[in-house]
Amino acid sequence: MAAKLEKQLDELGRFELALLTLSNEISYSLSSLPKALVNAGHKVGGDTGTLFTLIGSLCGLEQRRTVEEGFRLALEQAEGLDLPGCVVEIMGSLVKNLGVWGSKEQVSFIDMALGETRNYRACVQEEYLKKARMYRSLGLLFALGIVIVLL
Amino acid sequence: MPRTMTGVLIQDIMPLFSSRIGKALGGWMERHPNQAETIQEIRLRTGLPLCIGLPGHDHLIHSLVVSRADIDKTLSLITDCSYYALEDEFKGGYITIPGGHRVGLSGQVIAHADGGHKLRLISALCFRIAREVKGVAEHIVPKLMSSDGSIASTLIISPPGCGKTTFLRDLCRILGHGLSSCSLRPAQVAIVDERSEIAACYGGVPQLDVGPRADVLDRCPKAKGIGMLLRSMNPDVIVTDELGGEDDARAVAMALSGGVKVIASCHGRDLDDIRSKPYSEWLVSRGYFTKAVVLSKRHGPGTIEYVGDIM
Repeated sequence: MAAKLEKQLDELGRFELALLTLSNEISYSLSSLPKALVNAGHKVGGDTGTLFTLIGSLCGLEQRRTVEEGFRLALEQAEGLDLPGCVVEIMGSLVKNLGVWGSKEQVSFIDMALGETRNYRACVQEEYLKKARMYRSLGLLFALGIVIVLL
Repeated sequence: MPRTMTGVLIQDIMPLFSSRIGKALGGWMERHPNQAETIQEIRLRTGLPLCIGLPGHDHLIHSLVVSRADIDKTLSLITDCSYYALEDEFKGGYITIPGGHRVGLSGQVIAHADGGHKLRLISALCFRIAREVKGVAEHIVPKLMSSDGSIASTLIISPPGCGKTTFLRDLCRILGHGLSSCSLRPAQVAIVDERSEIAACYGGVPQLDVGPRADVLDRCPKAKGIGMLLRSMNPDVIVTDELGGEDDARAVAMALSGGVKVIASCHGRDLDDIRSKPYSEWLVSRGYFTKAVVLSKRHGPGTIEYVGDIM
């Protein structure tokens, strides 16, 4: 259970970083979106990075696919990826607005996705701490029980 | 081997459309193979039938009404899913796509207080298919030679739609290769392509053949571009399209005074018409341009009315 939450926290952290990288690539480098997605994917690594890289390599003029189509295909091709449901959900709504707006609006949409991710991450973090405290208490009680039985 | 128009459409244009538009267009081309070879434009307008532009007329495919989703898909593809990166180009109202084809855009314009504007909610796209006509200038070049064996500074004069740009592009190609029939040696050609029409650059790379020795300043104002090329690229010949204002005339004069040849086009019916315009007259009367080519469409675009010295 704790390992699952830890993995979720790790991927959410990567997703945040990927969104920040994407925002920077769009505002400062004016990289094309497929390139920006691939760059962000390589930078963050993990399953989130793989998803970004896949979307980037499957969309654009060369591939004759929109970002949304690239995203759908990436999810089909990346069945083995272990991503938190919220990452797929947030990315799913973000791709509808990726690459079709001006720079300012584009960054605003990414900021909104970033805000959602942070909120979700805070919830998972809280649950993780709560569970950690509970398991620690249970562990102590169990140890105390064993001591009492032994005595 | 040159591609047929059908080949160009299938390879460059149709993959940019939604599948239903591709199907409708492909079906029409199959039914009208001869007309398909002459397609000049394809227009997508939200809520209206697909429109195919042919020489002198157009054809509406009433069975296919273009939707907002069709426009969005095509827009997404022609911008490489990166609208933000092309925002400035969109202000000009068109973009160039691979193959050198131009896509004109129209929709809602948001005007800013500082005089700038932004194009949003794009509702119509016009694909203008690029066509290269090679060899049109070849038999003219020997008549444009100066006494020192190089090309003379030449003004290409014609009303719109008579093939000035096609002629200029072919001239760039010939100058870059050289022409043995008149002992013209290959020259370093620099092109100031303010409207992306001569070289039709995509990502800074010419999509049309402008020869092996061409440097292109794409979408750069002529006056500024001529100065930049003179300082940076050491050209033998500078080629530019549609000379107009005082700044253009001064920049051309500066280049010619520096020993660089200039070949430029300008709107006009004939040499007298050019002499009636203040800045062209200034360039002609001071001897900056010594040769002229006058084009018309009397026998179709590119009809040569006059080649020779400017008296």
